[in-house]
Amino acid sequence: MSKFIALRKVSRAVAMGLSDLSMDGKRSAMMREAPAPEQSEALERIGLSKVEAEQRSPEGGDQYQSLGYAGAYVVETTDEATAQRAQEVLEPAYHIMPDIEMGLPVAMLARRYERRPRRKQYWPDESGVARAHAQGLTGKGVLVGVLDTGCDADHLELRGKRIDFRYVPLRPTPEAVRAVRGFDTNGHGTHVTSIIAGKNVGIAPDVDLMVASVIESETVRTSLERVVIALDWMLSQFQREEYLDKPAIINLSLGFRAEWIGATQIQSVLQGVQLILETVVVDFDVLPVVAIGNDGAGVVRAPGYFAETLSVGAVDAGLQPAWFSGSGLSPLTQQPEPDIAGYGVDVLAALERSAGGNSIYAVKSGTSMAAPYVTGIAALVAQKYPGMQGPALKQHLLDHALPLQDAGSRVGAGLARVS
Amino acid sequence: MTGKSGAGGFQPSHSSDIPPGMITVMLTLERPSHKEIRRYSRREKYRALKSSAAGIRDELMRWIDEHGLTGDVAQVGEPTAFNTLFVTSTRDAAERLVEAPGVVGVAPTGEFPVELRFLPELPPPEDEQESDE
Repeated sequence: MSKFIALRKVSRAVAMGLSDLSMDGKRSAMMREAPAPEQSEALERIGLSKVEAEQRSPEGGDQYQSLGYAGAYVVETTDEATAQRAQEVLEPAYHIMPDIEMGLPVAMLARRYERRPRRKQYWPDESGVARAHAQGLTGKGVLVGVLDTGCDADHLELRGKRIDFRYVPLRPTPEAVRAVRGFDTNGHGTHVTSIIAGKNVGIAPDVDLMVASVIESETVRTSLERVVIALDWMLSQFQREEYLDKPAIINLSLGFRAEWIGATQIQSVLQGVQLILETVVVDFDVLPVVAIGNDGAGVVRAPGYFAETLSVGAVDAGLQPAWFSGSGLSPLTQQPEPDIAGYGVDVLAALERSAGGNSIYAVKSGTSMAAPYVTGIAALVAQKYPGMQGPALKQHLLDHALPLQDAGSRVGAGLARVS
Repeated sequence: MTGKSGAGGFQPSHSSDIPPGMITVMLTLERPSHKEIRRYSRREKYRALKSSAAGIRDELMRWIDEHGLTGDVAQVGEPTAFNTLFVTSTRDAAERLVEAPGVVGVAPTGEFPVELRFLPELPPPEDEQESDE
C-alpha cells in the first residue's frame, strides 16, 4: 500500500488572486468558490476513485480524497505504478509528502460508526452476559449512578429510558444544580453509560439510571465539592420508597494521581475522599466501581486504590491485560490493585449524536470502559441475588471472577462475570 | 483529616468566582457514628446525617457571627449527607474555623484533574457491518 499527501505549493488564496483582500474577504471568496477539479479528473483517469472522508475504507484501495478547502489530496493505492503516475499528475502544483502522521486520523474515522455495527453479541461468552439476558436478567430493580461528563439521553442507545440527570456546575450551589435532560459535551459519559445500560450494547439495559455531570469537558477537572454535591443528590434518592432497599452501584470512570494535586494537599484530598467513601459504602451499602487508570503497570490512581472501592483493570477480548491498564500496590493499603478486570479494549458503545441527529457509535479503549463493564455485571448479579449489596456484592464478584492465571496481579481476581 | 489541620495553600482553580484574597476550604464535621445509625433505614440515615450537618452549619453561622468573622466569610455551602461543609473565606478566618463547635478539621480543597481521555484507536475488525438503525 502506497499513501501520500499532496499539498498545494501556492496557497489557494494566492492562486485565486485574493492576497489583497481582508481576512473576511478572503474567507468568503474561498468558501464560495469550490476547489478546482482538474487534478481530480486527472487522478480518476489513472484509475483512482474519489472518496469522501466518511467513505474511506480502513483497508485502503485505489482511492483519493480531495481536501479542497485545505488545498490538499490524500492518495492511496496498492499499485506502485499508479502511485507514481498520481505523483506526476500532482507534482507541478503540489508538494508531495509521505503519509507519516495519517495513521491516527484514518483510524479515528474508522472507529466512528454512523450506525450501530451489527454483531451477533456484544459481549463474549466468558462474561456470562448473553446467558444472563436469556435468563431474564437485565439489571431491573438495580440503581446505578454514573459520575462523569454527562450522557446524551437522546442517543438511540439511551432514548426512551428514564434517566435522572443532574448538571452539577463549577460553583455547585443548590440553586445552580440543574435537573435537565441528559446531555454530554464530551462523549465519554455517554460511552460509559451505554456500556452499562444501552439498549443494544449495554450489559444491564433495565437498570434505573442516575447520571451526574461533574466534569468540565474542556479542562477535564472536577472538585471534591462537585463530587460531594452529586453523591449527596444520589443518596437523597434513597428517601424514595422504591429505592429504600434497592441495590445501588456507582460508576466512577475517573481518577487522579497524587502528583497532580501536590504533596502538601494530597493528604487532605485523600482524607476527604476516604470520608465520602465510608459514608457511601458503610452507611448506604453502595458499591463504588472505579477505573484504576491508564498508566500501565506500576501506577494506580485514586480513588480506585481505596479499600472501599472495587477497582477495575482492563483486558482485551483475548483476556490479556491491556498494555495501558494500571496496576500496583495501593499506597494506602499496600494491597495489590486492581481488584478485578473488565473488557476495556476496543469496546463498542454510544458516543454522541451528529449534527443531523444520527446516533454515533465508537469503539474505545481504557479502564474507563472496563469499569462500566464491571458495573453492568454487578447490576446483573445484584438482580440475580436479591439482597446482595455493597461489600457483599463486591465479595461475590471477586469470588466468582474468571481467574486469568497468565495475567498475574495485573487483573486482580480475574474477569468479572455473571455466575 | 481526623486531626485538626490547617487550611494550607491549595488554590482553587475556580478562583475567578471567589472574592480576592479568599480561598475555599473543606470543613470536616462531627457526625453520628456508623454504629449509631446502623439499624436505620436508608431514608432515616440520609435524614439523620443531613440533619446533623445542618445543625452544625447553623451553629457555625452563629459562631462566625459571634466571633466577628462575618465579613471574612463569603459563603458557607449547603449541608449534605456527608460530614463536610465547603466554606469560602479569608485564609485567616479559615484557620480559625477549626475552633468552631462541631468542626473537627479544616482542609484545603479545589479542583483537580481526573483521568478521562480516550486512548488511541486501532482499525476495526474487517468483517464488521453496520445496522440499519
